Amino acid sequence: MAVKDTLDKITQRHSDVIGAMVLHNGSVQHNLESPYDVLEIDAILETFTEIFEQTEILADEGYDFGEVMIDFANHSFIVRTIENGLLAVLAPQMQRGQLVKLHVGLGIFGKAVQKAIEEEGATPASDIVEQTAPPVEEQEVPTSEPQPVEIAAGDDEDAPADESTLSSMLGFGKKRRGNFRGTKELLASRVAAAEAEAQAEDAVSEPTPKEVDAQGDEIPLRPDGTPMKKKFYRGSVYWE
Amino acid sequence: MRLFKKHTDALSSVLDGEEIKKIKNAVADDAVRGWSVFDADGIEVISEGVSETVTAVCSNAIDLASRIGAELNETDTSPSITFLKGSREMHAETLTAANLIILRDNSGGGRKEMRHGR
Repeated sequence: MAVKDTLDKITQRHSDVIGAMVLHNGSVQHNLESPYDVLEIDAILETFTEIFEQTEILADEGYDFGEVMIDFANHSFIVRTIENGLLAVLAPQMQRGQLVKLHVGLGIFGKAVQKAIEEEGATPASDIVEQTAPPVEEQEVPTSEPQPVEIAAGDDEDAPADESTLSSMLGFGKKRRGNFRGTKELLASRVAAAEAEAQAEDAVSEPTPKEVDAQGDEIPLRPDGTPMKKKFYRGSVYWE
Repeated sequence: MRLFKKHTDALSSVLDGEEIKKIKNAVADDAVRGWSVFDADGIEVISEGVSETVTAVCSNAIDLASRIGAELNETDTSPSITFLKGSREMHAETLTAANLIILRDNSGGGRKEMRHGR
């Protein structure tokens, strides 16, 4: 069964679900029922990948969470990890019984989605369907080409990494070794590194950003000419 | 309950009565393994059974959840986030004056729906 068919089944089985989507090996596959447009969904999934990256840090303390839910006044996003990706569903804020039912269902469908992905093999570009796929330069998802793994301070720089998968890029399943310095220090070091890099760039070449993101902020460029990624930390914005 | 009383004075300096009442209700649940309160600047105010790492990760997750809200133009700026695996659960949510993290282990009982109690 195709991935999309499996996603359709989720929404059919759980009438409260208004959207289901998969991010797998950098390819985004959407169910069409989501009320949000593609760029919003990309932003949501990108945020969830950051959250799952944080949960890896928790694993050092024995907390190995595979599922994350965010509640707002009107909606719940529930996202779980699958092999090399994420499965997400969107639903109106639900009562307890509905929520538990959906959690159970998501676990079952997570396996079904994974099986469908395996049956389909590598996700063909044509499956990143229709209205779902923004231009590659806007989507900023990992490509099939090996990407250098950016290892932040405090990470295990010696750990082997399969660079072809989103999972390895996020560090899922990677065992940490050595001293762990803590999230606050880790994130603070990232901010400091980004600021230092920005200052160094200013001093050398005064780059002239040409691209603007969805919030209207100019996207600075790395020394190699690729656009930096916007990051948020405690209400502050930085680029790396 | 003892856990709550131990920190009542400290809590009252940053939280109003209604928020303290919510924490009291949460802590009274046997499934709660630990809890932590940190202010809007991410500084931990009080903690019991929650490590600095957990506090920092949850604080950052709440920030990221706010980012999703901004992307969706949600007017509710107080999202909650729950980490789940099997029966284990870790819940963080924003309060008026602070953020609250509650560590729960529901292996011995049913899930208490916390997000509707805020």
